[in-house]
Amino acid sequence: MPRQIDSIRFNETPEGIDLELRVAGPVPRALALFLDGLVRAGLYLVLIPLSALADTGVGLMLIGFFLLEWFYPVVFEVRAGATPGKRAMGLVVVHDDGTPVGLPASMIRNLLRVVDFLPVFYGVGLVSVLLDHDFRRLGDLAAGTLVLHAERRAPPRTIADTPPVQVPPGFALETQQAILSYAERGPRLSAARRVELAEVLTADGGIRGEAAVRRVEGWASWLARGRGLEAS
Amino acid sequence: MDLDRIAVRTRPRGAWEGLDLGFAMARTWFLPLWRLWWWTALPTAVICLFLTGFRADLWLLALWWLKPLNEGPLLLWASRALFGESLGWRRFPETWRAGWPRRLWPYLLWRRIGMRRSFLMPLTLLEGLSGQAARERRRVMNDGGGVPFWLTLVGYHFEVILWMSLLLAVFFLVPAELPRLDLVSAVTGEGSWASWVGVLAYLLVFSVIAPFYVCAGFALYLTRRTDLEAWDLELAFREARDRRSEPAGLEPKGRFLGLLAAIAILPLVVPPDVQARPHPSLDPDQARALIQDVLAGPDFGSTMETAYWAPIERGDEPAEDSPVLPAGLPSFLRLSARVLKWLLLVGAVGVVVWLSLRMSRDWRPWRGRRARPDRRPPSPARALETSAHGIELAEVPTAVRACLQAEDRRGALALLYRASLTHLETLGPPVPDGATEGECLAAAVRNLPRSALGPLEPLTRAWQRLAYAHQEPSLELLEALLLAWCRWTQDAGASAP
Amino acid sequence: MRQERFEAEQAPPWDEYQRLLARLEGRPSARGAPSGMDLGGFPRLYRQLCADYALARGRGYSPGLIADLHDLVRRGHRRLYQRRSRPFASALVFATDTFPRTLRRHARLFWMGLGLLFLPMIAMGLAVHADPEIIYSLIDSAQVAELESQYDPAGRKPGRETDRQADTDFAMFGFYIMNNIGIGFRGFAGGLLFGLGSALILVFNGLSIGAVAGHLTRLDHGGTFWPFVSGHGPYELTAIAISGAAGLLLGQALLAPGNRTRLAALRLNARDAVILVGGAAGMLVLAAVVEAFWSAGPAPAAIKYGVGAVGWVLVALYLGLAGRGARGS
Repeated sequence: MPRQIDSIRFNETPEGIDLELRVAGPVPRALALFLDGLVRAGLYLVLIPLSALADTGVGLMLIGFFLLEWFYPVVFEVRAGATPGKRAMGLVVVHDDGTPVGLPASMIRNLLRVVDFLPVFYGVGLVSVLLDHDFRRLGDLAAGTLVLHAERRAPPRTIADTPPVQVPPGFALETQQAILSYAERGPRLSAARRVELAEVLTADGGIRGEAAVRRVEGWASWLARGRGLEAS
Repeated sequence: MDLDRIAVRTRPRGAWEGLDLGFAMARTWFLPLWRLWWWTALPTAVICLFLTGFRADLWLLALWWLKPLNEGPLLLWASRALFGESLGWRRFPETWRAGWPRRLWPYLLWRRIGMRRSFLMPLTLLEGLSGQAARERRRVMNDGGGVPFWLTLVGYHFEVILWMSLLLAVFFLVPAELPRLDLVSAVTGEGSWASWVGVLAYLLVFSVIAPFYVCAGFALYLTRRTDLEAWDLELAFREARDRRSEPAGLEPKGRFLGLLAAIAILPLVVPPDVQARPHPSLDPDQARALIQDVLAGPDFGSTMETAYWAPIERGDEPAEDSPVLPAGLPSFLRLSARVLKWLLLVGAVGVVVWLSLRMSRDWRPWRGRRARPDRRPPSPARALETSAHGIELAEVPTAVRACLQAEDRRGALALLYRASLTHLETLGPPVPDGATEGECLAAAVRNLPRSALGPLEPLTRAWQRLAYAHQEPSLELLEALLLAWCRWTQDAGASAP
Repeated sequence: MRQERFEAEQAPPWDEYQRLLARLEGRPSARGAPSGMDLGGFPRLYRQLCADYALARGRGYSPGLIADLHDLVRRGHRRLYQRRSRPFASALVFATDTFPRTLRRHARLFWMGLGLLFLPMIAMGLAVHADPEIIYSLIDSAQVAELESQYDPAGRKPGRETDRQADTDFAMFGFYIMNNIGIGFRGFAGGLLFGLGSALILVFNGLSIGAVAGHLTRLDHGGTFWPFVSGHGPYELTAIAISGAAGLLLGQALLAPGNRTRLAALRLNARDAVILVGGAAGMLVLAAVVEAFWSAGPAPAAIKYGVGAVGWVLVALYLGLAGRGARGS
């Protein structure tokens, strides 16, 4: 079987576990860029009144422009992991091993922004993001960085306290996990849909309706708690 | 059906991640999708060319309007590819027929300007619903937030950016000797050849973005169904059921035949009717009220139309007329500028001076050369010198005993081992510099009679165990080794002239 | 072991871990936590959690639990592998050590950058000096006229009275910072276009500087021009050449990656290149200070030439010798 398409990359940490890196694609990144553009434009607008203060103000304004142009992303990425626009879109910049981005990598990826910007509005960067496996623009490629989706809003999970029912033999590990997942996500599904899903598994045994839901939840309970003996 | 061959990892995802999954899908399947797009678009393009009377701008507008026509087959192709089935050349007619159902008409008429096209198209094309049921279903699916809207909006911008990039690349890369592309007429479209270049470039960009747009919408649709209906669990359950009911042995071939048979039917993503219809026990009016309620809730606020399209003031230009500054301010400013100036100057000079002091402190070639640490590999002959005790061979037993008294087994053994290396050197066998313990022992065994080895072998083993395995020797063993060592050195001293 | 029992048994270390994590992440709710909390135990707890996560995956516990554990691991990973930044100390090491040594490691490219800047400059200067028409092929006539009036020894620049000088100087300082360092950064980024962008920027800058110098000298304006540029020239020209060399380093990775893939070579070289650019930016700031506050100042030409010569010696000593100490060998 060819490798399945996924939006997640796995990176093995020194502890020997696979860390999930949920790389972010062009659309959220473009929107983050746009938001950053707004923030930056706002900062420019704040700086412009300085020019009223004669030449001293002009000097300060020009220095401010320089810092904004080149160091706005670097400062935010190194200090907080993401620029305000990226933060608003729930993105974060990391090294390609998942560790927070450092100053050298951030400098590389943001100085090379100039090339990604060519010929207009990130044309080169867009092509690179569309082509690359991990949605990296040229600056990311050179710096070895990734842009990830940062937060996972974990919904509350509980496995209902249904009397355990022994799982029939022949369910693969993935199926067992799907059963557990069914029990965890069940409360967020409609009642009809819950019945329908459960019946997929139980209809062969002639169990239908609410009984099917109870049966599958019983299996989940058995998988999670055993017969109740072990938990004591 | 063959759920084993599903080409995408199914799992619950956030909407943005679902979008990204779609982009990943499109990248993987790009070439077939792109080819399919051209095969679909070329006939329409030729027909439109005649219908619009060879006017470039009208032609482009027509092709733009007819985009959903090209997207239907792409979507169908993607929905099959999702289950590992690749529709080849020969099945194109079939793909087209299934990709252009009559239900698609609204997408060419009033729904063409909707901003959720690629997300809603799977509903129409793959679920085959129509009328009231379709409307209900659209409403349920639509509540997931503004991501499909942003996809379409950003997609348009991607097209424009790629188009402009392409034109500029052509403009800059064509040598100056050849006729230069007139960018203005390429963009504004005045019937010159340049405008045709512009339009063709746009067509190319359509073809590039379309697979991404369609797949992203499709993936969003799948994500939404995973969220709403636990579609991934349904797949997993179905697979488990099939695996259990399937007699062993019929695996690959039987499945493949089943797959072939399934092609004629609607694609797999079609859910059973139940999930698309309102629950029978619910009164439709009640349900509608409920839906309205839910829609009105803060979770579903999808009215994202904020003031993003306000022109961005880059504001590089300083104010035109300098306002009259209050009295005293100019002189204050001048003063502050002077202060800043001197601060900067003094700072610069200070940094330079400080750095050079710092560097001259570190950089002392005439002393640095001599002070460079000795990098020769340690010689066993100098083992005792480097032991930091700097004691004579004769004092070793006392020192070892002192270590033993102090319960310092490691110190005792180390001292003993080093001393024996030093003694070994006096016995004669040449030991190479930088030799390991094992190599020292081997050299000794090679060059000395067995009787002259003394306690060297057990001593080396004990030392290796301590140094590399952190196994401390017992006190008795240390005593025995010490005794043996004393005997060894005395023997050697006696036999030596 | 069943999932529920596993969760119950591991709950205490997980809770402890979460408390430490909340403290590390600086959540406001953790402010009230006892200050004696042992952050030193965090790595151990983190490793334990990693093991638990791997167990949960291997044993096929529920996806929800696995996701929760992964979330905890991810947050801890972020904290544990964060680099501590000590900006002052690292800036010191950077200036006295890292930058000059990295530059010497890529001395060949540095000379190449210098060559690409200075050879066109000298050639163009001589050509313009000999033939007054050539300058108009490079710079348009309005700009040439402006330059001429700017450096005209007879006319005084407007706004050069002493009481206005300080704030004008400061405005110019801002301009130099924005313009020159921008040129340096672009020269670096252009290297990604197979080194062509950097080479072009170097050559073009060389040509324009040479043209201006040649033209003004031919018009006998050299008396105002040369003292002005002599002060900051050493730092500015060298820094532009260095940032160009950094760009060439990127280009080299793409054109001649050696035994590596182009991407791997690019990453390797980018790491050094960004050091060069950082150093060049520092030199350009120094150049801007000198240019704004010294070069335009009223000191006599001889002193300015002297300062310029000292500058060249300093730059050469710095780039050639700094960081050669025994410490880092």
